[in-house]
Amino acid sequence: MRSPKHCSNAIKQWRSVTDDNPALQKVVDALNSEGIPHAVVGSMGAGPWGLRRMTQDTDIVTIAVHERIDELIGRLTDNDSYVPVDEARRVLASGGSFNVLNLETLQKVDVFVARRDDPFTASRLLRRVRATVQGVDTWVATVEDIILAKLRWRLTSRSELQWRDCLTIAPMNDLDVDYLRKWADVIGVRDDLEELLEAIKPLR
Amino acid sequence: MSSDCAAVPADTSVDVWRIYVEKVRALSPEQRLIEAEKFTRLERKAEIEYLKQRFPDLGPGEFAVEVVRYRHGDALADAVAETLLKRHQAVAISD
Repeated sequence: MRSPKHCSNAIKQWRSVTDDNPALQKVVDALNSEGIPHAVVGSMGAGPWGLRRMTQDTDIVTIAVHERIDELIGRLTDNDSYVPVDEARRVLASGGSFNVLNLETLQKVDVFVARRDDPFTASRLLRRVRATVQGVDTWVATVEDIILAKLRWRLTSRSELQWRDCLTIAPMNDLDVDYLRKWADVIGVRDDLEELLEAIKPLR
Repeated sequence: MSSDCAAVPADTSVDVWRIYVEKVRALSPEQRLIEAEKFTRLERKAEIEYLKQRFPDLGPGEFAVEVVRYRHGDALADAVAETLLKRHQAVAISD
């Protein structure tokens, strides 16, 4: 589908380059209001740990909820946002991911919802640290959890970008190697982690 | 110039990259995040300029859909176009 001419009547102005992130603000506010723990992950979450590269969206991880899903959906949807409501409802209950796109700035948040019995996400949320991300007072995952998640993502996607991100941020931080090894065993990325630790030796 | 170290970009020497890593290590997480956001903003400006040149004649809404298409692919762009169309129709009916 090409964008229809009518779209110009639906958006008079939009902000192409902004310092804030209304999409992230909306997601964080919605999760906070329902008391649901969350953390910014992915490349945006790697910013405090030294990663500097263009990223098209913000990834946020949270856990599935059993109740008040409609209230949560209600807080995510308004005239300035595009949210696939049916998909979001299903994902919030049972896990997966969905998008929240702000139509004023075209910024997108990918909401990754883990099952409640996912021990790695429970650990990530327990260790998260406070940060202000694009003007939004929120939480980010620790550098170890960012690296572990990127190694796990690389397993399925074979994304060299994820590997390059790990190679970039690992030498820039004092890593808790015991924690990394423990969870690398659990999520099945121990060989990749050891390769990473070996690769960054010349820079330590 | 190039390095055999996997953790160093191919066009950078180990010594130069080590200096860069040390500079970043000296920054607080807050300072690193500010630097990362500055970089993203610059990249985004360049991206928008490129798309303006590519689609010089589109109105704001149509252009917004093409930005979504460029950044996030056809599926989301088409969904956004449909949402905007519905919004336009709702406004037209209320008028």
